[in-house]
Amino acid sequence: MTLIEVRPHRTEGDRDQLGGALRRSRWAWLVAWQWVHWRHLDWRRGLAVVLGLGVGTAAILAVLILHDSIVAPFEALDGRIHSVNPDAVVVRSRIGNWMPAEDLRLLPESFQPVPVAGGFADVVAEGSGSQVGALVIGSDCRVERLLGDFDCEGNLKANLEDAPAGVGVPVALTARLAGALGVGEGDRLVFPGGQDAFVQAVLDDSRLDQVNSGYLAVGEVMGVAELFGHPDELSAIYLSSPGGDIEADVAATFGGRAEAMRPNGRSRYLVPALENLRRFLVLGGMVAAALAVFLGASVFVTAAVERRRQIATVELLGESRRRLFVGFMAEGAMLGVAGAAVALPVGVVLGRWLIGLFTANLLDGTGVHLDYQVPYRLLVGCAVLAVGLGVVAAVVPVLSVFRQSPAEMLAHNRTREYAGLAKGSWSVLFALLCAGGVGLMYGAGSGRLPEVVVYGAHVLFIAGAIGVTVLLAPRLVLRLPRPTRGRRLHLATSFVQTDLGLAPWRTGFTVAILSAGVSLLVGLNGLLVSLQATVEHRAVVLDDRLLLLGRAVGDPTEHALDPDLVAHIEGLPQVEAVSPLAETALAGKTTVFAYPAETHRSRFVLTGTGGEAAGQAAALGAGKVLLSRFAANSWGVGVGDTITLPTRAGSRQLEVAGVGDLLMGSDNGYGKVVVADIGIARDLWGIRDTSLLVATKPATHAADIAQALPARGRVHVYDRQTMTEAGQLHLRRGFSPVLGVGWMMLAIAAIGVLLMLVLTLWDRRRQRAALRQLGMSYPQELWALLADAAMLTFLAVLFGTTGGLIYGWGNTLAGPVLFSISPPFTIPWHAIAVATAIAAAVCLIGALLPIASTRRFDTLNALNDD
Amino acid sequence: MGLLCLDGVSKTYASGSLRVGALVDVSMQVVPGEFVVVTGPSGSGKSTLLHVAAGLDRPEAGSVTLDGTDVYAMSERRRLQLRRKDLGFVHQFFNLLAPLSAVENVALPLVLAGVRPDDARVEAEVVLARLGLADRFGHKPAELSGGQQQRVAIARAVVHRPRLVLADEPTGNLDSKAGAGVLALLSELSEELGVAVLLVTHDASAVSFGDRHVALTDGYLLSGARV
Repeated sequence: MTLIEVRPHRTEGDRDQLGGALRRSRWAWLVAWQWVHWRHLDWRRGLAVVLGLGVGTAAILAVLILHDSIVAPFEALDGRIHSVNPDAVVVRSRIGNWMPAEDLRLLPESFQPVPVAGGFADVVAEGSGSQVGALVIGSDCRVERLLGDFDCEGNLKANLEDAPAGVGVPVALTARLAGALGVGEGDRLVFPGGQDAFVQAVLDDSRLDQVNSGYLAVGEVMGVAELFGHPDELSAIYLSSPGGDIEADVAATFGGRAEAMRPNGRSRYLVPALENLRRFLVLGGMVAAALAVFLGASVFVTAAVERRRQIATVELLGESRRRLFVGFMAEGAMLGVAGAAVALPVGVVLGRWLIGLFTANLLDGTGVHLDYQVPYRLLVGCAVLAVGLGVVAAVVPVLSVFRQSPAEMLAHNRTREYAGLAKGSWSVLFALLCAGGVGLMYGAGSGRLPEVVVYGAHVLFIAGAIGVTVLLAPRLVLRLPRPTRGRRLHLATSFVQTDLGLAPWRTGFTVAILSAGVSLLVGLNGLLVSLQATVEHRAVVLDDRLLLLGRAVGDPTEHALDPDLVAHIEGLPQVEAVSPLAETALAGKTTVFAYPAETHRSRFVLTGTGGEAAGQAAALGAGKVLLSRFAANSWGVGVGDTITLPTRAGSRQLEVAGVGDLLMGSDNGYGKVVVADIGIARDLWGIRDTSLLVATKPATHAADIAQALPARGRVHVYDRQTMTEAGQLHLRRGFSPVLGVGWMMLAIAAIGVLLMLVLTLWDRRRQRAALRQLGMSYPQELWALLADAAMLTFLAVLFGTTGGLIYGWGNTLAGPVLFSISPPFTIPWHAIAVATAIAAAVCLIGALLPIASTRRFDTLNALNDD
Repeated sequence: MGLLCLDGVSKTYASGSLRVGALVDVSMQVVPGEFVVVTGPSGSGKSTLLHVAAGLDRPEAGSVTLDGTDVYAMSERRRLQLRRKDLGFVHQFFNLLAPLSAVENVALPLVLAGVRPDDARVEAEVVLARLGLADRFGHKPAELSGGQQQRVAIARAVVHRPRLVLADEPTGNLDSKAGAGVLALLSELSEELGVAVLLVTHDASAVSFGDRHVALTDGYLLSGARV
């Protein structure tokens, strides 16, 4: 090979153009550089980079669209409300979402207090049964000066006065909500609390479109409170601040049971859900970005290494490394632009799919309505991101090449030992990262470490698992002994080791990326299956004669049972006895479960609180509570200690009668759990009954009770089977967006693996040619490719399943942070089977795709390709 | 009767609108046990001659027979068996499989041909020892010098006792001393095993190692003198 040859197969024209451009101008040089690179071989790699960047950026765009459509609107509520009146402050109860209406009188008139009742809820049109999630707000027209100009006087008050009379609570709907429900003035509606309501007015006000996408119902404050089953209670009091330290004034007025804050329009349940979602999306975005860079960079690694001689040659011609570097950057940017062209449409479609999953499942029943929107700035931002990732992907491998002198590059010998074999200490380090991640999950889940470390734990675990896989997977294969008797197995092992030996790092990354997808699928499904087991656990306490009545499983609205309805149920001839069950949320991510401790029905909760808590349940009485272990650790207390919780009569010290691991999930449990006797809970927190445990007479079925209930109201009747089914369905639906992201990652991983396999095969052409000359037949070549696919599948499943099981187990350890329970880990066999099948299919397709071109393979060119 | 007979073989390559004659009406024979050296400058058609002889590159005119059988009249499967049993190859860039040890590289053609791996290994060790690499059985190609790598490649080419070894610039990647060693080794093996060798090179010094010298220029066979 002579020095003036850029590549052996380049034409004179290529050399002339490059050489001439070197002497003329920078831009001409850049164009020539790209032209020479792309002219012959590199279009395949270019296509692979474009696809890699495109798919990775599309995932990022989808995650950002999801964030913009779900999290951002609620973040923006704060600003919207606040921008209308910068002095506006809202007082909210620290006990549940409701506070006594008489609290309004405690505030001085100088604060100009405005009472508000409401929240997010499902609204049902009684006639058609159509159902739409809405923000239901009850107030008077004084709220307008706080929330903004929506012509309250003109639209609401006047309409309410002039509107036709109806039965129940009058409400005004926005035109958008009325249209979605298909109702007009005078039509009847059903609200969560089961109270009668009717449409007294339809508001046409675009101003309100900015709140919950315009799905709003407004009414008189106490009327709306009744609709939620909380008569004589308020969900907030808005203040127009007179100045001074209003937080301190409010704290002094309410003794710690209410707090002043900036208005945010979000309920207590929605805040942690959105926080988790935001962190989850940030994590998903980071993983997607890492995938994009990896896919691009691993292709560029091949290109940069193969261009080693080319770089050296051009350097010897007198070109500076700086300009060579700029050339690579320009190439990365160009590929990034093409990647953006792929990413934008794919990302928009992916984002729409993810939002569909969230709106259809996660937010179903919350009353939150989302509009699908793709802001222009996101598209521009992602296009820029794709270009940036392309530049990064191009530059990183070149930096490693530039560490060599031109002479070293020209003398470069491809047959080098895989460095990963000597990286044992790094493997240990990455394994320790994984262990550290699980340790942090346990620490956060047990309450010993702050909640936020859970998210860091995920990053640590994923980074560690990828590192271990990259280093160990090729090492495992290269160390495999070759059988000395079985010829086929011997050949298969030889081929796999030979193929892998050509690009061990890339093989390691290929296995890592696929195993990461498998891990996510196995781990998240493991968590889901484990949580679903708790539903069975909860339902098992119901027997043939015990039923559970209350709101639908998974309904997060904190509406209480109508006392009249409870009296009606108690009076049913099929009912032997009823026992109330209740739960509410306290500030600081604390959930109170309340049950009668002294009756046989208490086993409903005792089944859920194991260990010492069960033994001490009988001790529950005045001033005593049981704590989940997570709560006890978080507060640093044990049995016999006291904790201070806000109550309606101010802060109150309570004795810890027991500490237990909660094995049974609730609908809305989150974080720290306090179990109290229901009588005490009513006194301390004004807790309302949210469910009834009903003991029926023999031969009574759930359907009998359901039929005996009044038509109005939305009370669900569950026996063991229906409760298990409903609970598992709710979990599956709630989890489907998370699993959706997992599937998306697996799909990206699959595309990446396919790209890698095809590229690897391209790199193997010389080796394949040599084998053909030695007499390797077509079936043997096919066998070699299948052996490669089988080995990659085996490694991906081995590392992926192991990692996934540890990941899922770690997540169950962290369960109390997100689900209030720490369920025993259940192995998701079906997910392992599905993941194995997908990994096998991906590897098989990756191995078989190039077979079509195998017969056209140019052995002679490959043999002579240096 | 020659082992390898090329009769009126022509082969052209197209480069854009330009057609280049790589081989023009070439006729030659290689008899069993003969060491034939083909020399010529770059682009003279040496490698094409080798590939055509190996049944890898079908000529546009003429015939190639091995032991009286037309190579290009055979099925692809039969040609494959021919390469497995009767032909051995030595390349300028060795083309050894990097992750396999020297002995595993040498044993590979035998395993591909159906020999049990442990038997193939024994056979490969015998050949490697004969070539002076008894202390390099377990070494990977990256751990061997260029000359040693080429000796492993030669061992791989003869381990299955072929009747014809085709060598394409086997000294092109070696220094003169190592190159001379490789040529001497091929010459010895040719005599010792009775295997014919067709070697193409631009190195004029190789001529002295062969039984016969053939020169190629621009696809034309210029001479067929016995050395």
